[in-house]
Amino acid sequence: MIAEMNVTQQLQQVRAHYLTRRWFLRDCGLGLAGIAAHSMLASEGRASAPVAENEQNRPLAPRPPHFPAKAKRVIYMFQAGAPSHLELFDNKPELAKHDGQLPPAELLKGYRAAFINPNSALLGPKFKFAKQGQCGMELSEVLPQTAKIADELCLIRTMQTEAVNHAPAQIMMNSGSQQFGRPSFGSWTLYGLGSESADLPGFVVLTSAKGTSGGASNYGCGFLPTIYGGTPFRSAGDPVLYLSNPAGIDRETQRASLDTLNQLNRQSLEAEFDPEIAARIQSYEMAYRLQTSAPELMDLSQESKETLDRYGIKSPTDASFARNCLLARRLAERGVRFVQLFHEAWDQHGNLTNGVKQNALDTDQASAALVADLKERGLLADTLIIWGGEFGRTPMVQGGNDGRDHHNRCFSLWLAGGGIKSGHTHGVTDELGFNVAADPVHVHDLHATLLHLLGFDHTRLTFRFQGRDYRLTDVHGRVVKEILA
Amino acid sequence: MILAAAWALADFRTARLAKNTLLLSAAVVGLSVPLGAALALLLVRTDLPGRRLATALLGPGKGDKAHLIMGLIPFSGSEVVRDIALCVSGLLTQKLGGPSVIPPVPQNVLDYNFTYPAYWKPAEGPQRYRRALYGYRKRSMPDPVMSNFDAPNADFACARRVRSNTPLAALTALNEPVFVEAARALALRVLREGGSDDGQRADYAFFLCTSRRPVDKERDAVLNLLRSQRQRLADGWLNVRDIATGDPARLPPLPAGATPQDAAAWTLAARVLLNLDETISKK
Repeated sequence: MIAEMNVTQQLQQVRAHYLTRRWFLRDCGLGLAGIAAHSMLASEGRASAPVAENEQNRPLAPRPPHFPAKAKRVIYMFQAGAPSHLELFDNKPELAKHDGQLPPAELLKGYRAAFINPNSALLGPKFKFAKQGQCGMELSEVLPQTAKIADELCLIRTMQTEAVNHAPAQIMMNSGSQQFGRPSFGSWTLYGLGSESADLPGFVVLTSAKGTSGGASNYGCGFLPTIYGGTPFRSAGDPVLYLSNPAGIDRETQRASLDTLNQLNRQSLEAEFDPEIAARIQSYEMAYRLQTSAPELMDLSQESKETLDRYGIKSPTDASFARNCLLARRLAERGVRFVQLFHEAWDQHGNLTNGVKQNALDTDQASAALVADLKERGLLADTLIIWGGEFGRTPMVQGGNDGRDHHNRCFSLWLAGGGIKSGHTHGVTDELGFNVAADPVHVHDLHATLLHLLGFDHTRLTFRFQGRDYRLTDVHGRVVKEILA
Repeated sequence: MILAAAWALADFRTARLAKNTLLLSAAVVGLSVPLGAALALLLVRTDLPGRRLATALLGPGKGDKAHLIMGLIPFSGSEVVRDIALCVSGLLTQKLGGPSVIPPVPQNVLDYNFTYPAYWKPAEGPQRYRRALYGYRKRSMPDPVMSNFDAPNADFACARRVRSNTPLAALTALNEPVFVEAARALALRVLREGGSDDGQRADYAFFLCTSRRPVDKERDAVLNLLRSQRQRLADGWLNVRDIATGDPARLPPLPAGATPQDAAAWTLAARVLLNLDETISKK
């Protein structure tokens, strides 16, 4: 496979880790065998040097996927904390009728709730729904702006996951595994496609509200080379710290210093074939470029008042989801492959009505503005947009009469752009919004579909680690053809 | 069978042959180990002419076991990277135990607290250069240096650190005040202890950072930087005091025989050496 070939050749050089001093001192004591193995390994490194050298110096070089892709880049608006599908996307009039009653016993067989006694009373939806757009997509009244772009969206109502708590479920959503240590979706994307932005990292992370429960594992590289990990920009104040050179050092001396540094690191790379040194060189180069590109990127004074209003940005310097949405567009315009926004605010165990209302106020307008703005700029067609959280919320009540617990049996999210069927609603849940009634989409299926749109056969985008070819979809995943344009 | 063995052992030639065999193998091992080690060292760590050909000839060149060792790569976490810089520069305070110390944090980070932490007075003197382990940690304001190296927040369990290598980490190691202070201190240390000419000093500085002597090409790279930056200092493009102390009105405590220009030029070289992959990673 193409993407793998490039990178694998480079990664074969990982064996050159054997050549570190530590190894030499420790293992060469064993004598001739050690030395023989040593030179053997060294020669393997050398043998493929002409190809590898080129690749090593450019581990982020753009490369074509398995087959022509529909989407070139991804913007993932991760709604951490788990938005309630019952208040936003999945209209359940029957649930309203059963408000205050206990759920049917057979429904709860084998059910795992995070905190509540599953045998709690049902809670009717808090908001009204209406059909929106030409497609007649049913959306909640708290999403008036999303309603306006309904014809661009593909709403999946039958998402399923295994995890019932935030950190594991977020990591599941982002890496296909509840356990940390796996590469994130963003880093798989970068590994497969490389980066097209010379002056900005290929995978940028922006956070608002509380950040993420899953932490850096949500955008980490796992066992992939570190060059493919996400770069988190700060949400408030300076997005990137330490951009200024120390006192007295001008740009020319900074350049000369980095040239010397890179030259020395490159000599180590040639001697050791450690891809992490290539990553280091790349990081320092990117650091130098960020010194000018980051201030330019974050300078929202270049945007018109109209644009700021459209996204609902009150202050261009304060941290907000709206500001991050506009930054996401600016990043997409500058060729950044993968932008992930984390907005952790949706954990309404209590205060459901006001909490959801407030979160909708914070996100609805900006999310819709981003989709519309990208469309106007001709970027929507090849940008894959994802909006959703890590699981859903229980039809049963928690915390008096105004809260819902974590629920993994079904939840909703929407997609838009690059190769996604627009104005489409996929899947049906049962009348209480508890189980999937038809067309389930597991997290692995979603991943398989997203990779498909990026041009990958999800079973062939692999990385060999500890004797096994790993993939984002583990040993699962089905491309959901029904939601493809 | 037993009789035959007894007869063979009784024969004086058996003992003599056995002795010869043992001697021979001991001699071969004794000769090959140092010879092989020396050759391996030459092939791997130096620029021996024909090295590429020799290594290509010596090995079979097939078989991929890279995946077996992935994940065992030693990775320096955030605290370690900072400690390395402090240790190499000689700034590190070796004291064990005691209360936490407040590290410097950009004003911009302090400004974005819910309640402004007026108590945030960065430690000065030796306290400032304690190991990162002693850094004061505010839950709602994770230390930016640690965060930029992707250290986990202290309020989450962490079974294994995330490996990362971002431009944010690079910027921190290049520009963050304590790292810059380490570069200045390393420059003075090299001028104090490293000999009288730049060649010797380059060897010493390189040794402090990587625990080995530089090969010629590496020494030349450092010397070239020194030469070009000494020229820029002489031509007035760069301010000696700014670079050497960060204060346009102050000069550093210069070792005997060293000039302010030496301190400034070596601060620039030290900053490069402290950022070498070989310095930062645990190799």
